[in-house]
Amino acid sequence: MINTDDIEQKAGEQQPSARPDAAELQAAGERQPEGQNAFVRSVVDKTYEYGFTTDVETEVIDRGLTEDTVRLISQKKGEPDWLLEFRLKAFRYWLTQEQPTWGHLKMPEIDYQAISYYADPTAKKKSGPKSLEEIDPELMKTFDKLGIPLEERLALSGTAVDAVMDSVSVKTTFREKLAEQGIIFCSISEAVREHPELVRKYLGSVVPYRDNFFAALNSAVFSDGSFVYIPKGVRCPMELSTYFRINAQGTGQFERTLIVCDEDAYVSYLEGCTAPMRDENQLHAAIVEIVVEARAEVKYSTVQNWYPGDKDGRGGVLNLVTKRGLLRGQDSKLSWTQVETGSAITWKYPSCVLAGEGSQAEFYSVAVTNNHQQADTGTKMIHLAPRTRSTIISKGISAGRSQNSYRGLVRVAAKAEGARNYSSCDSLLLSSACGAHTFPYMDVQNPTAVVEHEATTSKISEDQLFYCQQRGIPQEEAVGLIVNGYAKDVLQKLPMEFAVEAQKLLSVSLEGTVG
Amino acid sequence: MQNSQSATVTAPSQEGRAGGEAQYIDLFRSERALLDAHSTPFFNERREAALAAFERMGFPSRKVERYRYTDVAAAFAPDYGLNLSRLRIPANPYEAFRCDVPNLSTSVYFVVNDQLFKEALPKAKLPEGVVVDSLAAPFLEDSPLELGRSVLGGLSALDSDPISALNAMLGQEGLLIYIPAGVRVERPIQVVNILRSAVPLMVNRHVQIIVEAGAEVQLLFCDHAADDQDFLATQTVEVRVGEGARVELYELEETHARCRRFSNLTADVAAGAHLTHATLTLTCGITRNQTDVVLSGRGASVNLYGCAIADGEQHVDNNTLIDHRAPGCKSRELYKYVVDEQSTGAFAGRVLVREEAQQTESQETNANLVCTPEARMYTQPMLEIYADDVQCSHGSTVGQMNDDALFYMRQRGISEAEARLLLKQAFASEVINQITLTPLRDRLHYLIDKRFRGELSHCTSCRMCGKGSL
Amino acid sequence: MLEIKNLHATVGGKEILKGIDLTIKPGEIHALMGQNGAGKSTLSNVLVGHPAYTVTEGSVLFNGKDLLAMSPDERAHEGLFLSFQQPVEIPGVSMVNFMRAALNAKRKYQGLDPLDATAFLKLMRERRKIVELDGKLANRSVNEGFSGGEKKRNEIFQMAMLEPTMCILDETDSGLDVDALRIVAEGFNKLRTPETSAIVITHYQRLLDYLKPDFVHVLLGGRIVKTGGPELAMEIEQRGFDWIKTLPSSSI
Repeated sequence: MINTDDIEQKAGEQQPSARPDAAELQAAGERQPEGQNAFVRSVVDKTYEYGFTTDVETEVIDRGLTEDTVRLISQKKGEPDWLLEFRLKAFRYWLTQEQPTWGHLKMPEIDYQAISYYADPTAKKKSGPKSLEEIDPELMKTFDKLGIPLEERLALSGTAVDAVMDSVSVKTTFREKLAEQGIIFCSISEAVREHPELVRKYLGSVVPYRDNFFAALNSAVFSDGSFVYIPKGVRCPMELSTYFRINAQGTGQFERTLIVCDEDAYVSYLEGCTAPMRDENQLHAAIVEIVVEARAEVKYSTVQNWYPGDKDGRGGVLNLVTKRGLLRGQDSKLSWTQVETGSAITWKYPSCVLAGEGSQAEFYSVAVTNNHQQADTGTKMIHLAPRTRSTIISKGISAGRSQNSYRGLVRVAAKAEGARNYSSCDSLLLSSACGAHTFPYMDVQNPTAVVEHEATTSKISEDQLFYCQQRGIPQEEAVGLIVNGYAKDVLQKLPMEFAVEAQKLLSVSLEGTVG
Repeated sequence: MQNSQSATVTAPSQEGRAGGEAQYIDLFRSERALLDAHSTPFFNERREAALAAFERMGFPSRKVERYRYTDVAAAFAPDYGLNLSRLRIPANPYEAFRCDVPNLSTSVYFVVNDQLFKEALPKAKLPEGVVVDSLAAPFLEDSPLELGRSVLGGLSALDSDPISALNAMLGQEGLLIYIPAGVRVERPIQVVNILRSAVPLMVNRHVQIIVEAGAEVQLLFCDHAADDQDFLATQTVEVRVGEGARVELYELEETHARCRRFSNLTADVAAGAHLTHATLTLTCGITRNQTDVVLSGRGASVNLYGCAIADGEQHVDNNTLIDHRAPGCKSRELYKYVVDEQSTGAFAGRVLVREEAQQTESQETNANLVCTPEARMYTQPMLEIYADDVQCSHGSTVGQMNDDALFYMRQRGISEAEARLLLKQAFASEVINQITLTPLRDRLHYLIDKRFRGELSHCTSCRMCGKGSL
Repeated sequence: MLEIKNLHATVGGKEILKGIDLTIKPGEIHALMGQNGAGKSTLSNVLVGHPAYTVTEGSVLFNGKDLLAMSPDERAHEGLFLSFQQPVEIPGVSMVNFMRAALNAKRKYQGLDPLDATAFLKLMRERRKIVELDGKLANRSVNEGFSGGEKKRNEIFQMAMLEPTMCILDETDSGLDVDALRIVAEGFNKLRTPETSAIVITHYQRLLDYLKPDFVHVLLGGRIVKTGGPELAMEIEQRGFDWIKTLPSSSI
């Protein structure tokens, strides 16, 4: 997906302190990389390759959150009254709520008044981006560097991209081509302007603003994100993808994505994310809502690589996300696949409400935590209708001093005759200072349901490591190999290019974990 | 308890019912002198701390993680009497009661409500130094026991658990089981808890089990309710398993729909020691068992077993915590539930492996049969691991009977009803087969068979309430 | 004793049996051959009343009674026994309890008193010897941890206990080595009375060498397409099935 040589160089120029020096490595008792192999060196040396910042004139509103802030955001986006009302209701509800504490997470105090809730890197061009010529070349360069060319002729085959920086969608490619089949793929702000009836119908229908603290916050201040509508019977001819980038300092990103897949339609959707390295925590509180109608199928894949903070746990993105799909129609299908390597804190449970008879849901997850990262992630499968099926495969990999938790709920309602769930949650431990935890909840109310859960936790196998080393594979690489093998069930669910990227990420994220 | 005595059974105050806690706190304040006068020093010394803890915590709401499956406040809301002035039970339970485990040669002790029935002690002599007595015994002037205060009550969760706090606040007598170092008790010790009352009654039992290094003992606690009355029993059990000691503790509950049982067991297992604990719930009203085991010494091990058979409106909630604090420890956990009709089952099992607990082996299994759309099963196995050299697994299933097995049996001429029964028994037998006390195991197979045939919908062990089969 | 007429059956909405006609008289052994998917196992499952299969047309009379109207256990009581191709494992249910429940249910159906424990255990011991089934296996849970061969022997042992008049052996020879096959087949022959009939489903001549079928039927696409004597099985052993497929339909 990315021309690695190029980007490593560019990224390397901008992150002089990221490379641990030899003395440090030795002091830490780690094997010093001495191989001449460029790949090995790049794997070992790399820390976070997307940590650069973009110097672009960005309009940032004043920090703080009041009702006026909400009104200002709505006004800046030229929104209709109903949407402002929706935001205000959410905001007022948010004020009555407290930040949840049930996660297995040590959450830093978030000062919601110290954050700016709107940052627009495209503000210089007043009317919003229309064509490539109007986009600031700095922005183009940034996305190029991230491997997301915004020029359609350079695009990866079969992928349309909505590129979002901070609060604003910079560019959505292949819109016209998709429109020929009636597919709507645009930023949610544009959707509000151009397809208000669709947005109004579905916004908040899967994740109501009262759902949780962060959902209420997002509903009040959400900025941009993607909107997808696949009409009846249409098989979306290309992968749709949104790339999220946080750039501006002291801002939060509150994106909102809404995907509606009408009867007998199909879409595969990819989401990628990165952020610059900053010492402070950056807040990312997103909502993704998916509606799947009868016999339709949605595949949603995420490779989350937000900045995880430095080796000592300074900075990093707080990724507090509510993602949920409603399998509304009969025999509908939804599959969530996520590779979580980034963020200082991940709090996210992509969920499925199986309301259509015979609907099928899947959740495949690899969550890697290293250094001081903390992840509390998993899924909810709510079986409401007969013959519904769900599968959960979760692989946690913990290294350094990180804490990695799987948390999941499987609920089978009384009406869900013949519902089936299979869950398997494995944890792999790479250091003695990390933690791996499993918190599955099962609530079964139907006698014909079969719900199974299995979990194992074990240490990375010394035998496997030694075997690799005996065959001449350096330890770092061996760990990468073994971990990739361990995560294979999940990785093979990703679209091709994403899978390659994710494999690379896994190795990089675990740099320096064994020694 | 006779009707004539009901006037002296103290009922909690009616005032301040808004918060369910208030009636207990008010009762405590107004009857403190009576409580103290009729209690062993062990309880009197802890009352203030227990009160403070209970006032601080109150009844846990269902938002409290460990109590999310049982509505505690509702169970404690009704008016129960307390026998604060320790009126004795006139009837001899030994004559009226025959326990359901008949062929087991045990040393039987009866605890009626929360009082040890000293008028009927077992004839067989316990080994030298072994004590089964009221907790008042070690506090007597001439007591040969030298148990430090830190040993007695040292495992209590009264600071952290509201039920334990309430139990300590209102407890009066308590039972002590003491096995000196190196003593192997051949004959199992059986404690039969009988609830007796003509009015709604609350009892607060407390048991101290201290098994010194290298000792071995098998314990069987049987819970029965002899009257068709509303009972609320809180129980705290503290178990110390000394180095290299071995303890098997079986708890069998056969009460009825009007009984509420809240039992908190805390155990500490020292280096090289072993504890087996099994909770078998055959009939009950609302039962919540909380079992917390700390593996504190190298190479300690614990097996926790549970089997619950629920129908009607029964509610069975088992909540366990196994805390691996030392290296090389092993834990094994197996809980099985059959929930039928409108009953509710809940299982939450947390295994915590601390950083220093390397080479931990832990295995947890929870399997459940849900028999009707009205029955409900919650299950929540949790692994929390901070050490890296571990082998831990847990599995839990909720499901129905294997259709292939059902059909196979029917092809051999076994009716569907009988085949289902056989499969339910087989399901439960996996737990029962873990019991090493052979007569108890055989008896449980028999009881469970009867239970599934619907012939054991209430306690059958006595003739006190007129419903028993004797 | 068994009269199958124009039997059609579906599983999961798909029609597998498309009009089977077959009559078996007391004492007759009928071999049923055919490629995988021809409907052999479906026929045996339909006859014993497996709930996954639906009969859409036709009738089956067993000793003059409507077999299809009976529950699976009634069919067993009437004397129908299926030796399963893959006997299921039933953890926790001991062989002794299992067999006692089955035998006494049948005795009750016949209006007999249940066997007492001593008589029952004696019978178990006797019948076990017929298939050389290890006593240890009889004390275990039903089929749990049995090898493939042990499971098949256990099926014949149960047949010995229940004394059926109509046996269906569904690929009882699969997964058996030569010795195990001999034990199972000879066991069956020992149990046979002049009145015992059987349907033997197999791919191989080996088993038929022991059981000596009176008739051999070839099942294809849910119908019996060819019927012959023991020589037909020999021919199939040598030539396979393809030549039957190519026969003009008039000769079928």
